[in-house]
Amino acid sequence: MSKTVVSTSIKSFFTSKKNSQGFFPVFINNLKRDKLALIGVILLIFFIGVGIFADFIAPYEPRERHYNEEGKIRRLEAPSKDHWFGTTDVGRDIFSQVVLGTKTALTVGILAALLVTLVGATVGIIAGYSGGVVDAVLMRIVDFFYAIPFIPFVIILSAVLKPSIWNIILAVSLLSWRTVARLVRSQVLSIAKRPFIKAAKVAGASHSRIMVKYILPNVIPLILLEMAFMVNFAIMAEASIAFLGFGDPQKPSWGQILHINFVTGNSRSAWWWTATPGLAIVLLLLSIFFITRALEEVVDPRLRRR
Amino acid sequence: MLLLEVKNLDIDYKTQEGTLKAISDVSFTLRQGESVGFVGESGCGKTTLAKSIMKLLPKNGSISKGEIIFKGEDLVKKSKEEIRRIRHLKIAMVSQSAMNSLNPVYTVGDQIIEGILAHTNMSKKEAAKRAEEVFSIIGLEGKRLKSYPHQMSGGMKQRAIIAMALSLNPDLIIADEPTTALDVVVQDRILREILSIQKQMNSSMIFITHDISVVSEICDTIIVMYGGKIMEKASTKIFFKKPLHPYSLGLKNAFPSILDIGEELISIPGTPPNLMKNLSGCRFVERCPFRTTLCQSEMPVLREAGEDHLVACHYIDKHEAFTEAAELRETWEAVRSRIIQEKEEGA
Amino acid sequence: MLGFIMKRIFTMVIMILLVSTMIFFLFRTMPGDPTAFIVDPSIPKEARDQLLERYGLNDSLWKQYTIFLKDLVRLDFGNSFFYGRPVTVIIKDLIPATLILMFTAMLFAYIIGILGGAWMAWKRGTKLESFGITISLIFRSAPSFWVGLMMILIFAVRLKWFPGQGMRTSGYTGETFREIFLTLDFLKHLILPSIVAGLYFVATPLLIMRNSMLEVLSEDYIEMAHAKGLKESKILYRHAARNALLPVITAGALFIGSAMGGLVLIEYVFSWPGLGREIQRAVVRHDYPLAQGAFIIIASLVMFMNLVADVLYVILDPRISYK
Repeated sequence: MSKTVVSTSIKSFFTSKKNSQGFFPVFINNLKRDKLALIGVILLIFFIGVGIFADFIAPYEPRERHYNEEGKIRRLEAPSKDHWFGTTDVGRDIFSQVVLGTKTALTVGILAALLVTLVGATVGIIAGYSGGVVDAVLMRIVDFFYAIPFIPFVIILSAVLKPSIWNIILAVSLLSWRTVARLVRSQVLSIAKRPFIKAAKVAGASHSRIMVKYILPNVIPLILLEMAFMVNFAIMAEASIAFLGFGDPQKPSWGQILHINFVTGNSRSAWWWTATPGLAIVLLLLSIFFITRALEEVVDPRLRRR
Repeated sequence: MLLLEVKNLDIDYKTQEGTLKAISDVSFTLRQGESVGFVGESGCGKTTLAKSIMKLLPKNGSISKGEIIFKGEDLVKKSKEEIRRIRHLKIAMVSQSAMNSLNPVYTVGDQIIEGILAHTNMSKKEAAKRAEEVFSIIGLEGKRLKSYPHQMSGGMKQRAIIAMALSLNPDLIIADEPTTALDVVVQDRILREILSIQKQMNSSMIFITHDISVVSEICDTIIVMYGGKIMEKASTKIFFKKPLHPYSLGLKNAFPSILDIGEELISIPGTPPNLMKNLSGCRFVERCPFRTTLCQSEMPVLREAGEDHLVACHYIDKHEAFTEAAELRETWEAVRSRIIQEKEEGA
Repeated sequence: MLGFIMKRIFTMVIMILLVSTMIFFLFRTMPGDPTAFIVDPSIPKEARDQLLERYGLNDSLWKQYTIFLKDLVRLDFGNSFFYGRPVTVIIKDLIPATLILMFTAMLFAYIIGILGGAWMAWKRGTKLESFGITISLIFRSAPSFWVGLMMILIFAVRLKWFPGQGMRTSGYTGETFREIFLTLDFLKHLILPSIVAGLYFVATPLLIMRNSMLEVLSEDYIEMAHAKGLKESKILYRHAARNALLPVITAGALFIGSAMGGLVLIEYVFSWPGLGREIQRAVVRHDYPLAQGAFIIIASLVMFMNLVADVLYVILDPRISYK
């Protein structure tokens, strides 16, 4: 009996049945109705495309200095045909920097989100399923990580670690898995009470088997949702760290463009230099938020419109 | 004098799939001091009917036709503010889910007092005194007024809800399945209390339940509803002696008297009709053991079948044969196989 | 109630101790020369040795740790390399600036968020609601520092409505709290950063209030309140909003930490002389005692505000027992 329950729960996750609505069908269905989510998907595909082909799209090297016909540096030029997003104070092409920044943002966002959800979900499932001392200890650790303010901690961390995107990914993950762990745990607590888990136990399934085969499929929608939020969080965190001047100097990123823009004092005059990387962040994060809204309706059926 | 007169009421729900006709062409009257019980399965429109009288229909529901005349005035035409003044003061509700009808963050006393203050010029102190009075009527200690809902048992909460409904001596009490969430012993005691208070105060009452035996204890009149329409209406005494409609006969089987203990219950096979569809025949036709082609094509009107007795069935004259057959399990088993067969043919 | 608060304070103290310990070891057990993180490596060797001696950095890690703990209890974080003054004194002057900005922004965000969220739930399904949600998501997607930069560009540089940096016009000196903070000049400087921080904070209470309000509005006691003939406004605010507030407060407690992080960035953008800007500067200047002290204080402030939120929750929800 337990097997059929689980196998249908997995099946319904991918396919639509009349009475049990699956995960992706509901999501696709929402896209048809929810215009914002559709815009989000299109925007995200656009950004991913730009990220993957950044090196081909960017017309210039990000640190290349440009000169005009008279041989002078194109210093702080407003957007033009040659330089779509204008130039910096030392004549660098902002458009190329923003395009290459997309790659950095997506790399950090996706890798950190994967790491965070992997750790968070593992801890959450183990804590929720085991209960007792294991749960108590893991949750105290979660509490501890909640007590650490994120940005100040990352600032401190960058004082002791070399600035690189890998360290930024590490720092983001170190402090964010707790959120996922907590949410997954509470979901697991309610799943563990359901009859098919008990049936699996009675049938002699091992703990690890129950966790992987029976509980995991049921928390995957929640994990996916949290992963989407984490992508946003990580992108924002990377931009913030880079803006404060602790970013990876080797990798052009949106936060770093703004950092140079700010510390050179040009944020008060060169609007194209300030506006474009910021808009890129807003649009990318917004696209993911629009998608998560549609995802949320799938995860929480109460939000579904009747 | 008539307290309430509902005339040809139609209520629709707008849903994504289309319009659902929850109530169609329902009429009934209620005298001062009279109590009427509405029975039927869930989804037959009882609750919708109760809510429409208080104008508490959900946003997608609306009264599309008919009148609800309360003390000579049509409630359908009244403004929101006029309705607000009538609620609780003239028509009070004892709701279906007493467990969740009290706001968890205020004391029960506060919630009763709040209702009193919304409609009278009483001071807080006077209102508190009144709350204590109604609490003692319903058999709760005065100090319980200071309790939060989570500190009370289910039975106490239900009593508190009833006390709240009584607090302004309303002309009409609408009780929507007031005791279904309680265990049988408490249920019985509370029903008795409701009955005695209602007689004492001479309020009228609309009592909604799916449990036909409860009505026999409490109500003067019984109205059987099915698929948003009235199937049968009679005084309780007459009804329990001689139910006429095949649906009423089926219902009576499902809630046997104490004498039938030990026998297995006979239930009515099938489910209530989908009210989204345009139904031309009798609403009960799918599940009726005695249907004919006439039943499929023509909706029977509610007509007199005796003193104080109205029935919507084409075959009132055959009721004796019906009554006999309805007591037999085979009659209903035949319906079950017929339904299964029709489903297969349909699929 | 008192027992509950005492217990919460106790766990808070333990947490502060743990966080401080973590920071202590983070600074001292990192790869490379651990002393380099505590003493500026650029100063001459003799001076460096002297400093190491004075800070007890030649002692064993355990001894250093016990001294650190002792100092921590006395709120002594040592001397700042850059300012040459005790860290505690420097931080003491920075705290009011941070707290005032934080509370102004929080107040702004929570008033707008709670009223707006309730209103959006009431208007469910209308165009106004989708508009409200979209706007709040846009502000959630916009990095606070970038919004700050744009606001300065527009309102300070172009329109010249408000000053765009600092806490007071240069040249102004004030000594007492009153002279510094209770002036029109200060208020003018406060407006832009607190609006930016408020916009950054507002999405959280707004969206949670809306969701929680929607949930509450379908509760039976709301129907009961209608059946009692209460006025709409009374139902909306006394019954629905009151109950919907509870999750907003819980989420608020968890949110304070990230709010503090956002504030660091805003202080940096507006050159607001608070804890957040100082911690960034301290790290850039390799002023580790100050960075360490500022971090511990920020973490403690966050935990203290969490505690306040928890107590508030218990007061608002009678179902929670004080155990």
